[in-house]
Amino acid sequence: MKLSFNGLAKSFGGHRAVDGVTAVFEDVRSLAFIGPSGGGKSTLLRMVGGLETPTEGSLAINEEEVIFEPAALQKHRRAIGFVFQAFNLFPHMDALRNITLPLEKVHGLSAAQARETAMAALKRFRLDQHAHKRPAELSGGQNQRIAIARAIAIKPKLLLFDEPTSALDPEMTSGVLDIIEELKEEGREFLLVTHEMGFARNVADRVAFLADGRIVESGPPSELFGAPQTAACRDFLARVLKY
Amino acid sequence: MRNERLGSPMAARLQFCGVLLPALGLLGFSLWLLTDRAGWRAVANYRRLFVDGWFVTVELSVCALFLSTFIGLLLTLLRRAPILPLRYAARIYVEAVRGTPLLVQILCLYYGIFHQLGIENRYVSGVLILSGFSGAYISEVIRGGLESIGKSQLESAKAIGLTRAQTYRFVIFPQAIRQILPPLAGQFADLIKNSSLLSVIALNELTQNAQIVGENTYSKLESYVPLAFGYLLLTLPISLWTQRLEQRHKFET
Repeated sequence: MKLSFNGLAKSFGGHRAVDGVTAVFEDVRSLAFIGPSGGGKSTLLRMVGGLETPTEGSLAINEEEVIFEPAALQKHRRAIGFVFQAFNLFPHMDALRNITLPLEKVHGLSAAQARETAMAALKRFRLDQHAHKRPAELSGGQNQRIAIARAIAIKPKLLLFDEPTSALDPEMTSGVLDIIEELKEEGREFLLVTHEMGFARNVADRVAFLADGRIVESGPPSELFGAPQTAACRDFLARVLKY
Repeated sequence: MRNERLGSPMAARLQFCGVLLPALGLLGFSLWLLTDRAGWRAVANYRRLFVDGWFVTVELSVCALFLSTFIGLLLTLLRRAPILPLRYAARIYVEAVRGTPLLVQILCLYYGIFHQLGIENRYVSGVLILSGFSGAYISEVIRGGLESIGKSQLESAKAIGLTRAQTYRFVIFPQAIRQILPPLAGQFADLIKNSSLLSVIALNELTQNAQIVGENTYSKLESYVPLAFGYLLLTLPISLWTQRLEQRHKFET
């Protein structure tokens, strides 16, 4: 995958959450955004996913510019699997329905096909016995795995994870991270915003450090974690890796 | 928690009856003290008027129920319309209706407007006025329900690529209905009770007929007690129906 940002910026009110990012990531399969909270990681990811419209600049995925107009944007979102920090499953539907809804209503599968695809995805994550439970009856880790199943069931060209483990306890976190690693091994391409430094180091083949709305530094994880070039990145890593 | 305190549903029902029966007994006893047999007999001669009036009330209420739901939905849509003047118009309408007494609206609209326009049919006028009144409240109820749906739900719908209409159909309405139903049923019960005010335009519904009976027989209490039960007969089932619907739509968020 090739990802290019060209002067990309996003303001909320007077605050510039993303402050003119220009960068090109070539031949990258899994890219992790790290950095302090409020640094613009999530906003950048959400613009890639078409959930936020930039106030300035542009971005392109595989040389294809993302067009921020309602119809084109909807098409763009349909080709992307987005996994949220808070799972964002529909509470009035069981796990199976949460997965079949987009398959049937957005991607035009028949009810039987959708069910089959969804069950396969659930089985894969060992969630098939929970197919008929609602999110409130399941743990956070199970819900996040269902959300990931929903995202991959549509066969997306790109997966986006927005702090997928920040709402989970350590044990559940490892379950979710195992799945993301598995997806990496089968060659799926994804972008990931995370606070799990160890995981970013292992799973990403490129890491970008964001602070104050800019990409301060980026590179392969071994370089960025091994020998950070900027003071900001060095300080950040020293702080988060202290304990 | 309720079961813990009362034991079982059966025990709860027994306790409920334990309260209801003495209350009914007390009511019956005081009516027996306050009224006289001759009065009841006189009123009983007019039972046809009660039955006819009750059916008119039912007809008025059912028509107004559908029309007011439609008006309520329409106002909700207008209040979310992308065109600003439409939003303001709907807002002004709702505030004006909610800010004035129904009795005043009936008098103004019926004698002031409908009469001038040549709409003489009291039933049509009654249904229109009642629906316009109730519709304003219903739009507020629906609006509250729609606004209770969290931003993350809308975002999720957007992320999986649902259209606006699909988002309403699959995500917003099924969740909002749980919020909307109890107050909506309350509105329907209010609508039935409010229809009694239409007696001021001499519409022969239950209250008007009970007043006629009271005046003809000089037995006011004996005429108005059946009146109250006539309304309870309509509003109690609605209340029970809502409770069942609430149970069915119950899920945790």
